[in-house]
Amino acid sequence: MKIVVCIKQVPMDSNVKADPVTGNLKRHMGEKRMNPYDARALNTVLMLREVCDWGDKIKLIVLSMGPESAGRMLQDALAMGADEAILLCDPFFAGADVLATSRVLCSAIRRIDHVDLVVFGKQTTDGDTGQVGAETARMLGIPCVYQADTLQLLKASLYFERNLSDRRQAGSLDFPCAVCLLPDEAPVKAASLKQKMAAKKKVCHVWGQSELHISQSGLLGSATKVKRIYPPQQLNRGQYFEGSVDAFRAFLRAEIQQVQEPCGVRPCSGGRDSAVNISGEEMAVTADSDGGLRS
Amino acid sequence: MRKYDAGAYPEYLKDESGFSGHGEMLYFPSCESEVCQLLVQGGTYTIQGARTGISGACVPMGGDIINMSELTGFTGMRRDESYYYLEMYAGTTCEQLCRALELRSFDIQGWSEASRDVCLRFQKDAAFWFPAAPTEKNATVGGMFAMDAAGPSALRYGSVRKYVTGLTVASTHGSLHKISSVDRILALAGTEGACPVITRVELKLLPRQPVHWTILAFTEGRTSAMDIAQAILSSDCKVTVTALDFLDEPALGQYGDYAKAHPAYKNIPQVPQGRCGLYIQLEAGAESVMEAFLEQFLELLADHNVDGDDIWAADNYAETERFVCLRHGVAEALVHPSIPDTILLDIYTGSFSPESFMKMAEGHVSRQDIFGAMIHMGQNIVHICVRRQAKGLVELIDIMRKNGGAIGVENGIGKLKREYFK
Repeated sequence: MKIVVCIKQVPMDSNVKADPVTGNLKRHMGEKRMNPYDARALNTVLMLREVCDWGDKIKLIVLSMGPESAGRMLQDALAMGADEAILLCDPFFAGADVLATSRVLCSAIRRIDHVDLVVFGKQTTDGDTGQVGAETARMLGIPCVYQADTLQLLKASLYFERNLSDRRQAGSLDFPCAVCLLPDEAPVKAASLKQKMAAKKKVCHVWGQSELHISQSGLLGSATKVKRIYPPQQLNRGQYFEGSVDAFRAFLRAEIQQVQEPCGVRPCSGGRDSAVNISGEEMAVTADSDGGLRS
Repeated sequence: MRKYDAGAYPEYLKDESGFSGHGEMLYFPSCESEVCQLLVQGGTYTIQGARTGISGACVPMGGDIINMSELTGFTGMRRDESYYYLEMYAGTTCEQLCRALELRSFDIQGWSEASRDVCLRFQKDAAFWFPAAPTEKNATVGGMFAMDAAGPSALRYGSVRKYVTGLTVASTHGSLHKISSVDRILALAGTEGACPVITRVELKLLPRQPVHWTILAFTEGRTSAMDIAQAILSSDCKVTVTALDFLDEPALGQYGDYAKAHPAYKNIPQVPQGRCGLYIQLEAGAESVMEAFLEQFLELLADHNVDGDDIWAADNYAETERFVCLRHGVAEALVHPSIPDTILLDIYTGSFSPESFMKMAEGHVSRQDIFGAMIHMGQNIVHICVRRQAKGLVELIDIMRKNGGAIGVENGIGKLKREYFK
């Protein structure tokens, strides 16, 4: 059985700046790491393999599209327990959007051949689209399940449970299929020194345009053209309040009423927190019984 | 300037140790002139940073409080042939400092032309860092200097005082003074806010070696861990050992309970039960040098029957941060153990080795009154969590002092440990 886990190198800091000319994210600044959602997904698959009766027959391949420096992250994935690593690296791939990225990943997965399961993390912390998994699966012509948080490997299918906003759903997909995993609670295992040392000796394959035979990729092959990226305007509308809890409650009521009236919105109630949504903006206020307050 | 009745905000009347005091007014100056205004008024002031200390130094015992946490930001940068020097307000946190250095990104509003030029050069240069940064990232730079804090790399790089090259202080006359004399800076380091109010600090930044590894090894029993630590310290290796800490079994047990209750530790792997730990930080100039050392290190651990799965390794920023967080969590757990009425003492063991100190401690104080220890190997500094009223504790401290030891070494003396100085 072959499982491919798609992982991505992202900046350590999620506050990534954009190039003012191209609109692309400046990912080269600062320390890098494995996208935390992908790390969780890889960890989940490693744990699945551990508990699986035929775990020794599962080959786990990590696949990443990125610059040469992403090879270091792939070595980390090998140290965690992956069997093989493939880096999709070519200047031709640079600046790819969801469509162009999915095209490269799809082509690589086809080249690996006989892949039973393709696993993605929920999203990346830099691009944040959360769409590459579904798009890649569509191109591969295989079913894909999103928001999955529980998996079990069966002989010919994948059992999943997923968390939809209003309900939980359970089901199974025949192999080959793809899954986009929600991060679970288990912390990512620490790699042992032996695994780290061994991983340094393992080969990380590098595939480029010539191996994948792709004619459209990178910035030119992208359907998305970024006009401008800019940070949201900071609205410093906070204010300090001093006084008793009762006085604070009265103050809040008046404030909420003031913002409610023009919109006709009722605040949600319950517990210690009160919140009100107005035109997509959210104000959350917490008042502690000991007199402290935060907003 | 924001000011409050201090009694209404009890959080500002205590520090991380939980030691509590009392005060009148609580001030939050946001610029140096506001600090000066307060000092000119006269009165008794306790100076606070982020209140992350564990000795009660920032805990008021009457009078007013000047909390410096709103006086933040970087104010300039200069360089010489070897180093960069970054100046910042005293309320700037360790987190803000480390993040700015890592991203090489500073808010340069108000900087001089010369500082901006140096900053541009810094952004293009090799990596520089502040090696004395403590693991408590919320600490303020002023507080770190006032406590002369030491980070995990203290074994190699020493404490904060070594990197402070300039200070701006506000006097009781309401004027600001620059201090750059090494002697005067050293005289002020670790004075815990008892001297002029520090408003700005200039720190020396060092070039960073390119290869870093952090290891967490879990051993069966204390002796085995101590022997491994000793072998590393006495080895003739080409890597630099920047941190070597021993975490005993009760301390890791306390950490396990503490981590379960604190979401900050949810991403940290669970430590194996019933083991002692060794936290090791290594640096080298080249991958090959590090790899040669690690091969030898694996053999050393195998000789001490340490299981391969019980040696965790990190060689990238994200993994290292998790180990640093774990190490910090052990210290936090010892400050806040699940047992009431305890104190975390930091003791320089003088002529005693850490191993013989621990044996002596267990001989004087009942094992039931000792709740864990973290030892900075090579520095002979022991952080030990004991019951405050433990029988034999005062005698143990007395023996230490008579043998060249000291108490209140790394986390300050403050007001909390005063009873041990009688």
